[in-house]
This record gives sequence, structure tokens and C-alpha cells, in this order.
Amino acid sequence: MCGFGGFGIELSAATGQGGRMTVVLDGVTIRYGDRVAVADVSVTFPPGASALLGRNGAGKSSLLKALLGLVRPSAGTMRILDLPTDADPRDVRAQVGYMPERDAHLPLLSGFEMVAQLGMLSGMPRRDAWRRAHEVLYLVGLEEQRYRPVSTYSAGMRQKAKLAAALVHDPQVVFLDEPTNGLDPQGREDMLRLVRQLATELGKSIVLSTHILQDVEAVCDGVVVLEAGRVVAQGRLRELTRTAERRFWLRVEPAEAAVGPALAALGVRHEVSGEGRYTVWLAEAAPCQPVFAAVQASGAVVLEFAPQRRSLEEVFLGAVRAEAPVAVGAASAGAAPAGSAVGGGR
Amino acid sequence: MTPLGLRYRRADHALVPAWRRWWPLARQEFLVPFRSKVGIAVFCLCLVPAVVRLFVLMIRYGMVDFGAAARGDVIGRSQAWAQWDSGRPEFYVELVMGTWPGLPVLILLTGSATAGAIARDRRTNALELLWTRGITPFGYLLARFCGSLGSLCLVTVAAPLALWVAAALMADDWQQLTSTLPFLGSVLFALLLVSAVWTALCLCLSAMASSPSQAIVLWCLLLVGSTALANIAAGVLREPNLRAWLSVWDAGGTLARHVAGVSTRVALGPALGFLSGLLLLLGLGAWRRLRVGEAVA
Repeated sequence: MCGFGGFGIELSAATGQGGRMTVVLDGVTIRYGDRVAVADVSVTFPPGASALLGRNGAGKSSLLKALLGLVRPSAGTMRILDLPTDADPRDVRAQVGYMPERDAHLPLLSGFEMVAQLGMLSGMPRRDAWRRAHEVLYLVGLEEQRYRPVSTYSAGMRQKAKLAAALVHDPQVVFLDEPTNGLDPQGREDMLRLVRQLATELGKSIVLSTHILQDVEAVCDGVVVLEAGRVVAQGRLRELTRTAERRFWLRVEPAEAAVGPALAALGVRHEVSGEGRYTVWLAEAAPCQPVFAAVQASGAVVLEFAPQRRSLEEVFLGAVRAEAPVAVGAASAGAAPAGSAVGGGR
Repeated sequence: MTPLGLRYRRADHALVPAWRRWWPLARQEFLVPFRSKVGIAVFCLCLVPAVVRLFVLMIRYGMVDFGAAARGDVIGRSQAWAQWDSGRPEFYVELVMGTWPGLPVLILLTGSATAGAIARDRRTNALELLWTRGITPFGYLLARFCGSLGSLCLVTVAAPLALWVAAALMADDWQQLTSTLPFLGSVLFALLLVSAVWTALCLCLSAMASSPSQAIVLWCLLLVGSTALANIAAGVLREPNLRAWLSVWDAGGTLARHVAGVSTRVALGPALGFLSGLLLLLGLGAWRRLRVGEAVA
């Protein structure tokens, strides 16, 4: 339990969801006429932050629309929280928060009125909506500007207002579509920190749809990569960025020492990255000791020998180019418990 | 941004039934004319014709004394012209349906609020925020319609009703009340019906337009343009009734007069057909423009 000082009320950090999957898609196919936007996608999103990555037209928006009940899948089932698969879309949307990518606000209204209004449209009684509107606007840092018309807000303030609107009805699942759009560096950092805290401290399931890979790396535990309507990679971020071969960053002194031939003589794959700098690849189980021995044999000393991980960008590009499904770890977008594996998106 | 953990607590509420969720949206739309000083000024301006009629009633019933000559003049005029006689339905219907000042009032009132209702939401991408909540597009349209109709009816229905109450209270005896009560219901229903038709037409145009100003221009063009075209058609075809059938404004007047029981020589059928056809056409256009795929990126 973690204490929340403002109102002296305690809140369970896990919000009772534990490790349960909060969003489960099984064989979902979405068609627009003859065009297949999403093909046989099976994904699970557990509590925590997960990313939905993909190029334009990959099917991210279609998937979000389907999850919001705005588009009916032609095949497959979707389950959000404990709601039945055939639940009324209005009831689904009342349990889900959504922050659209586009700049959006209710015209003529102040920040407070907009957030309260959207809370009431989500099924909140008026009094609760008003109370929560104040609270979430404080949470996102708009407490001083809440009575100003939203039309006078800056781009960053509007992003915060949209986030407040997504949270006003206290949804367990929140879909965020490009939440850092239009934010300055400080605003972006704040937004990402808040999103991270929503996932870790309040146990919300956050599904982040974005193109910005740095945002994903900063916030998400799990990743689902879509390409041409199919899941081409999914799993924990740590697992996806780990390579079958281990890659190391090696710096030696003196730079002119013949380290390269010594490594080649050992059969170690390497690449010269600069003066006295090398990138070295070792097999999964291979020891590092021979590298040190080779450097020593060439008359140099090791200044730096550090493991490198694949960047998410490499993972993403590799996945979308290969278009072959990659499922890593628990095969769900986040830290799913063992045994809950779902097959790749084929 | 504020550190987390200071102002967040779980929401603990029972969900409001789905059919009641559109009510706050209707309320917001109803209040649109009153959200700015300009809007309030426009609304007050639209009430001027009703205030003038109230003043006439006050002179007629001696509440304001400008002398016997003035009172006699008002009584004489009211006997000569039905639209100035508070004992006849024309007094209430023509307050709204008379081309002057009814048409400018309608343009002002709908132009300042109703015409922008959906166009404003489209321009600010509010549709994406609204439709991803617990409300359906139909609920959204219903809310906007009811809210807009409510604000329009303050002038087109509530003002005549207030005049009727004032006349009944100021009259010397119960005669005014007993003689006007039988037609009051049909008068109010006629005004409500026509207001609903105009609101629906205006909302359809608002849904089809890409900006509030475009919606206002389209609505004014429809009102004034159809009247102009109807006049031309009536002149060319030598059929005076075409004015009352092919003009949105006059067709509405024809409908209201028939329902209210006001004597008119123009047939109802063509006017009703014109309004129904137009409503169907614009309604289809609006429905196409309000598809979920377009509103939600």
C-alpha cells in the first residue's frame, strides 16, 4: 500500500489487478470492405506500460478503434478487464481511458468543464465528475489554469488536459496515442514520468501507441510491433533488445596495438570502430577471458569492455523488414506470468 | 508537472445509465448562447419583438397609460389586424413566423449557436473525445438537437407563452383566458414543431460544414437563398404559392399556420413535402459526414 497524502486516503498500488491480463486479443481481424487492416492478431496487455509500435498504416489505430468499440472486428475476440467479449461498447468505453493523438478539446469550455463533462459522458454522476476533474487536473499540473478556456492553452497544456480527461473516470486501462506530441523537452520528460508512474504506482494498464522509440524505452516494459496489420514482434523490452550474440564495446591503449589480428587469430568476430575502439561479438555462452588474453598478447591494456544491447530501433527495423513474427519471453507485451504465453501474431 | 501521489484517489461511483449520459451535452448546448456577452446581447435582441408585443398589451389593458387616444388606437388596430389581437392565434404565431422580425431573429439566434454546434466540435476534434466515451453518435446528435432546440424555443415558444400568460393576467376579466385557452396548445405545438424542423436542418448543415463560419454561411444561404429562388420561381411560373412551398422560411410558416389553425390559403402538402425532402437530403449528408471513421483518426 502506498499513502496518498493529499486527501489522506490510501490506495492499493496494484489496484487489485495483480498479474492478470487486462486486455486480451485473440485472433482479431479487422476489415474495411475488402482491405484487411489487422490480420489475426493475438496480443495480451498486462498491468503496466506496453507499447504498440508500427509504421503509419500498420494497423495501430484500427486496433485502438476496435478496443474502444468503434470498429467491430470481422473475426476474433477481445476482452478488456472482466467485461464480457460481447459487452456494450459504451460500457467498455466507460472502463477505458483514451487520449487521442490529434489536438482535441471541447470548444467554449474551460479545462475543468471539459474534463468534468467528459467524466459525465463516461457515466460518472455530476458530483463525482466535478470532484475527479479537480483532482486529475491537479495531478497533471493544470490546477492553476483549470478555469481558463482550453482554446487558450498551449500545446503542452492541451496534452495534459487530454491526459486528465483520459483519467477522469479512473479507468484501469488507458490508451495513449502519441502522448508526447507537441511537447517541449521538459514537458515530454514530465509526461513520460507521469505515464510511468501511472503504470508502476497506480497499477494502470497503459497501452502507448507511438512512433517515438525513445518514449517507449523510457516508459514501457513490453512492446508489440505491428507491420501491415500483423504482429511481427512482441515481448518484454529487455528480452527483445537482447541479442543471440552478445555484443561488447572494447577500448584499448595504446591505440596502435595490433589487437585486431590477435582477436582474429582467436576467431572472435570484431569490427574496428575507431582508434583503439572495437566492437566485439561473442557467442551466447562464450567466456570473455580470451578477449582480455588477446589484448594482453598484443601488448595493449583494456580501458573499457562493456556489453551493448540492441537498440529498440534496431529491433523495430529488424522486425518490420523481416516481417516474420518474433515472440520473446512470455510472449505478451509486458511482464506476463509464465504460462500465459500467447502465440505470435500469425 | 505535479508529483504523483498527492492528489489521486480511486473513483468510487455507480455508473449513470447509458440513456442519461447525453444530458450534460444537451445542457451545455442549451447554454451556448449565454456563454459570452455577445451571445447574451444577441439573445436579448431576439426578445425585442416579444417585448414590443408585451408593451402593446400593457397599453391595451391600461397597465401603461398613454391616454385614452393611444389605448383606443391600439384596440382599433388589434381589431383590424389579427396579428395584434391577443385573443387570436395570429398574435402568437406571427410573433415568430412573420418575416419581419421573425426571419432576422431566426438567423441571429441559430447563427450564433445552433449552426456552429457540430462544426465547432469537428474543427476542434471534439468528436474524437466525445465518441470515445460512453455515448453513441446518435446520443451525441440527440443531445445537440435537444440543447439547440431548447435555446431556440426560449424565443419561439417560451416568449409567446409568456405573452399569453401576461395577456391573461392583465385582462379585465376571464374572457381572454377562456377564449384563448382552446387554441394555445396547438399554437405552442406548431411553434415547437417548426422550431424542431429548423433546428434539425441547421444541425445537418452544421454537421456537413468543415467550420462554424461555413455552417453559418450555408444556413443563411439556405434561408435567404431558398426564399429568393422561391420568389423567382413564383414570378416566372406565375404561381404565387410557390413562395410558401419552396422557401425554407415560408414553408415553415405554412406548416406552423396550418397546425396552429391560423387561416391561410396556401396548401400544406407541398410545403411539408419540401421540408421533409430537404430534411432527408441534409440528414443523409450529415450522417455520411459523421461516420466514426472520419471523426476518430
